Amino acid sequence: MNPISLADLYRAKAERRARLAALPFDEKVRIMEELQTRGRTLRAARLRFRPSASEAVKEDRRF
Amino acid sequence: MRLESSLRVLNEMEAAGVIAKYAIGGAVAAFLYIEPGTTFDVDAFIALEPGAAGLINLSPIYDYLRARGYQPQREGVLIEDWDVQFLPTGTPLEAEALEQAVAIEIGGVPTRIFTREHLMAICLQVGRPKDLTRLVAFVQEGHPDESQFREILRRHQLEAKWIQFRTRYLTAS
Repeated sequence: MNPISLADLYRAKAERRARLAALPFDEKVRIMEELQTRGRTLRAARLRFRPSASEAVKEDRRF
Repeated sequence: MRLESSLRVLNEMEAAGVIAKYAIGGAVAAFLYIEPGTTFDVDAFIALEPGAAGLINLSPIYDYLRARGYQPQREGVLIEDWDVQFLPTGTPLEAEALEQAVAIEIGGVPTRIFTREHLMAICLQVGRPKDLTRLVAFVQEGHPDESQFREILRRHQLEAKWIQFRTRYLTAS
C-alpha cells in the first residue's frame, strides 16, 4: 500500500470542494440548513458551559 | 427550517408592493456558486429611495412582517426560521447587482440571486477577511465569466484592487 502524501491530501480536499461547489442549488440549501442547525446546537452548548451567560451572548454577537 | 418558506414571504411582499425588486446576495448567494458553508441569515437586497429627509425608512417592511407574526431579531426579521436582513443597495455596484440579478428556483420557489461576477466584485470591494477567502473560492470553484467580471471591475473602478488581490492571493495557484 502506498503511503498518502500531503499532495494527495490537498488534491483530495480540492476535489471535494469542487464536488460540493457543483451540487444543485436545492442540495446546497439543505447543507446550509443542516450546518445552521449544528451551529445553533454548538452555540447553545457553549452558553450552558460559560460561567456567565450574558458574557457569552456578548461574545457571540461579535460573529 | 426551509429557505423556500422564507422566500415565499419575500415574493408575497414583492407582489403586494411592500418591497420593489429584491435579490439574494451575501453568503447564501455565494454558497450557491461555491462550496456551501455556515451562515445564519439571508441578505435580501432591495431598492429603496431615501425619503424627504434623506433617510431610508424600513418601517413599512417591518410593519408588514410584524402584522404577520414575524418579529425583528437583531439586524433582521425572523421569517420562517431564517433570519432575513433587508439591505437597501448602498453602492452603484450593489444597485447594478440587484438590477442584473438572475432568476433561479429553490425548492420550486422562484427567486433571484446576484450573479457570481457581481458577488466577486462585491467581495473585492468590501474586502473583509471572509470576503477575500470567498473570493479565492470563487476563482477556484465558481467558474466565473472572466470578461464579464473584468467589465464589472472596470465600471466600478476596482481594477487596481483586483491586481493587488491577485498578486497577493492567487499568484501561487
